[in-house]
Amino acid sequence: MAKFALETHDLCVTYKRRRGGPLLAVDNLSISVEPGEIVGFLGPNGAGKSSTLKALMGFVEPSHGKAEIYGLPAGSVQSRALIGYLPEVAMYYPYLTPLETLRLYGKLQGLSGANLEAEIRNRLTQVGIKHAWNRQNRTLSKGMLQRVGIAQALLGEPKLLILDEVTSGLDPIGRRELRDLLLETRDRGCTLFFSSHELAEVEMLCDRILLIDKGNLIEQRDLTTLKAELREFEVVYRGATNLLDLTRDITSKDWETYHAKFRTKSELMEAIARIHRCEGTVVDLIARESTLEDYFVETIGRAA
Amino acid sequence: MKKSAATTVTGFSTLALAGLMVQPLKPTIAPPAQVSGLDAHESHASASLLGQFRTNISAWLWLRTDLYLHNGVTLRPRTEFERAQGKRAVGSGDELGKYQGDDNNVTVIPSKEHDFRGWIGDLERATGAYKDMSGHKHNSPQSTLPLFRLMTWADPQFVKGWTTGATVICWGKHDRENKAKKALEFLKEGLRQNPDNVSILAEYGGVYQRRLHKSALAIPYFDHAISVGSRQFDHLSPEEQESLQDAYRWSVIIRFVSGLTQESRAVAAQGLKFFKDDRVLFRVVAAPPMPLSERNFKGLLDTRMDAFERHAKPEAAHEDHDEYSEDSGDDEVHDHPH
Amino acid sequence: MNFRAIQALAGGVILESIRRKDLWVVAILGFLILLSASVLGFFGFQGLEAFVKDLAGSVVGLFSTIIAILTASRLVPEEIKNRTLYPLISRPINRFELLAGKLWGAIVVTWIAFLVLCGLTALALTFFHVHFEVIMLQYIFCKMLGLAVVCSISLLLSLLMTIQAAVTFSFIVAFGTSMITRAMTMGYDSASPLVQSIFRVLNAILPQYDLFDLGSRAANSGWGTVPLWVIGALAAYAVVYISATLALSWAKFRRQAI
Repeated sequence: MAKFALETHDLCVTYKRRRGGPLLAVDNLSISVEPGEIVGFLGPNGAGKSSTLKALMGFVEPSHGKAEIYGLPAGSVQSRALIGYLPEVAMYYPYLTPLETLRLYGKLQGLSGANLEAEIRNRLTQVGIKHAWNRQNRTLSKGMLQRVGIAQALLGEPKLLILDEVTSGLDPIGRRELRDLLLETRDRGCTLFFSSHELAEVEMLCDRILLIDKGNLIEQRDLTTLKAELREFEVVYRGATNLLDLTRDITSKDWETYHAKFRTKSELMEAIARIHRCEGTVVDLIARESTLEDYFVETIGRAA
Repeated sequence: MKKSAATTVTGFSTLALAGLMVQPLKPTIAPPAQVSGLDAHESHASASLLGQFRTNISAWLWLRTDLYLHNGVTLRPRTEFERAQGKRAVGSGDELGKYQGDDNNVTVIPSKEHDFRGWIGDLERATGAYKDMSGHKHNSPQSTLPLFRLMTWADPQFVKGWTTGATVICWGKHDRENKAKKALEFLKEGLRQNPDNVSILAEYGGVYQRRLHKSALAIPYFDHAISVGSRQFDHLSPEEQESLQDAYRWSVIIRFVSGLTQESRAVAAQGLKFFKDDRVLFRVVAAPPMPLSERNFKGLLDTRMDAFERHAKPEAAHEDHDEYSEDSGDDEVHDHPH
Repeated sequence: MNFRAIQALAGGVILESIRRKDLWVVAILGFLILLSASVLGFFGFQGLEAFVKDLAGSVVGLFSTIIAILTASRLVPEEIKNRTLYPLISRPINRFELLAGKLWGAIVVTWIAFLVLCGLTALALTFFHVHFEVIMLQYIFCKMLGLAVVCSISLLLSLLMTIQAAVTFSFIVAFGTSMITRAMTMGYDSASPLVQSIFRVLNAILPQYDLFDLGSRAANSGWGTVPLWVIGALAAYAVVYISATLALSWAKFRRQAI
C-alpha cells in the first residue's frame, strides 16, 4: 500500500521552443498528497499547474525527477487506471451525445455491458445532465459540457481525481452541486487533487493547498490552520491596562483610546477580562477575517 | 434636421437636372473594336478554359482508346539506352510482322528479365495488365467506336477523332457500303464543325474512293482539300500536311487512271512544290507516259501515317495491297500469341 | 494489446464520421457517377464496356483515396487541436492502442465509403449491361487493402508535419509512387551502381500502391482472375506495410508532449 496517492520528487517539465531555448515550466517540484485528502493546487497563470498535472497524467514526459500515483510511475497504463481526469478546457466529440461519449470512455476504462450502461446513466444523472444525454455535444452549453467532463472523470470509481479548473463554466448552482458531489466522492475514499482559480471554491472544498509560482512550490498550508491565521480580533478600550504580554500590536491616536489586535480568540477574551479588572472601558470589539485571495496575492507577491 | 434634408434634396435635384442637360460624354480615345477573326476562345477566358478542358478530355479519350486496343497493356517508347542495348521491343501480329507500328515500344510494366524489383515486379505482372507483347494482336478497333463519338462530342475541333473515327466505322469487310455511308455521315458532322478542314476533306474523299470506289464523288473532296491546303500550307499542322499529301496523291492517281494524264501531271507538279520528296507525285511528273494501274500506284504509297492510324485502319492497307486478308469479326478480341 | 479499446476507438471515429456527414460527400459523388453513366448512355452502350469499367474504377479509386487521405490525416492532429485527445489518453490505454484504434476507424470509414461508391457504380454499370466477373470482387478486395495502406501512410505523415502538408504528401505518395517506380524501372539498367542501390532502397520503402489496383485487368476483357497466392501475397504485404507505418507512427507519438 503506497503511502501517498500522488507524489513528485524534483519534478522538472521542460518544453522545447523553436526560438529562445527550452522553457522550464516545472522546476524541481516535490509535492505529495495523502489518500483521502482534498488538495487544491494554486498558482497564477503560467505557474506550471497544468504542466504538473500533464506530467502526472503522462501527457508530457518529465525532463528530470519523477512522479508517482499510488506508487506507480505516473503516465503508466496502470496508474491511469486509478485516475479520473478532467482537462482544463474539456472538449468532447461534437457529433456524439453525452451517452455515447461516456460509453466510449467507459469502454476505454475497461467497463462493459450492463455495468457500463448503468454507470454512464448514473454519472450523467449525478451531474444533472439526464435531460440532455441524447443531444449531440455540439448543442450543449459550456457548463453542460463541463458536467459531461466531470461525469467522464468519475467513470469507473477512480481512486484519484485530478481536476484542472474544475468549476470552469459552471453557474453558482452547478458549483454547489459539484461541491457536494466531490465531497461525496471523497467520502467514498477518493482523493482529490485539483487546480482552480476560484479561491472561494478551494476554501470550501480543500483540506490543504499547494501554492506554486514559476514552477516552484511556494508554500503548502493546511486550510484549517490557514483560515485561523487569517482571522484577526481587535478591541478598542479606554483606561490603563497592560496587554503587552498578549499582543504588541497596540496603537492609539489620542492617548486615551487604544486599539489592540489579537491573533486568537482566547487572547481577546483575556484582554477584555484585564480591561474590566483595571476598571477600563471596552469601547468596541471587532472580528476581522482576511480572504484566501488576500493570502494568495500576498504570498505570490512575497515570492516574486 | 428639416433643413439638412431640404438641402440634400435640393442638391440631388440640381445634380439630376444638370445631368439631364449636359451632352453625353464622348470618349476622347475610341476603344478598339472587337478584333475580327478572333474565336470565342481567344476573346473570352471562360470559353478558353472550357476549350482547354474539352481538348484535354478528348486527348485523354484518345489515349484510353489506344490502351483498349492493347487490352489494357500500357506501352512506352524504348529509351535511347534500351535501343542501344538492343532491348527487344514489342511487335504487332496484326499484319504478320510487316507492320512496324509498335516496334519501338516496350511494355511499361517490365518483363521479369528487365525488372530489378524482384517479387514486387512479379506481383505487379500478376495484378496489372501485363503480357509479353511480342507478336501481339490488337482488339477490334470497332470496339472503340463509341469513344470516337464521345471524344468528338467532347471536343468537336478534335479532327483526328473525326478522321480516325470514320476509319473505325468503316472497319471490317462486311456491309461495306452501309458502313461507308455511316462514316460519311460522321465526317459530314465533322466537316460542319470544322469547315474546310484539310484532313476531314481528304478523309471524306478517301472513304468515297477506298470504300465505295466512287472516284467521281471522291475527287471534289480531294480537290477541295488541295485548294484549301495549298492556300494556307504554312499554317497547316503536320497531320494536315500529311492529309494534303494524301489528297494530292489520290487526286493524281484518280486523274491518271481516268486518262486525264496532263491534268494529273499538273496536279502532281503543284503537289511537288509542297512535297518535294513524294515518290508518287514525282513519278507521275517525271516518268514517260505509260499505262499504270491504280494498284501499281497504290503500291508506291508510303505509309507515313502515325502509329495510331496504322493500328486503326490496317484494312485500308490490306485492301490496297490485296495480298493481306482480314477475316476477323468486327468486335472480336484477338488473343496475343506469345 | 487491448483489442476492446481499439474497437471502441474505431467505433468512435466511425460514428463521428457518419454524424459529421463526411460520407455525404460519397453520396454526392455516387450521384454524379450515376448521372455520368446516363450521359454516357447517350452515346450507346455497345463497345463502351471497357471504357465504362475503366472510368468507373478510376473514379471510385480516386474518390476513395481522397477520402482515405482526408480521414486518416485529420485523426490525431485535429484531436490535439480540438483538445478531445486529453480525455482519451487519460484512460488506461497506451498510445499504440490509441493510434491503432484511430487507424482502424479511418480504414473502416474509408472502406464504407469505397463500398458505397462501388455499390452505386455497380448500379450505374447495370445500365450498360456490364457483366460482373470474379476479378471485380478481387479488384474490390485488393483496393480495400490498398486504401488501408494509404490510411496508414497518411496517419504517419500527419504526426510528422502539419495536416495540410500531410495531405499534400499523402497525395504525392498515393499518386506519384507509380511514376517514381516507372522512372526507376526505365532508368535502372542505365544507372550507376550507387543509383541502382538507391533505387532498390526506394523500391523497398515506397508503398507499392499500384499493386493493389486490378483495375486494368478488371476493365479489359479476357484477363481472367488473379491467382489466389497473389491475393495472399498482397494481403501479407499490406499487413506488413501497415504494421511498419503504425510502428513508426507510435515511435513518433509515444513520447510526444500533448
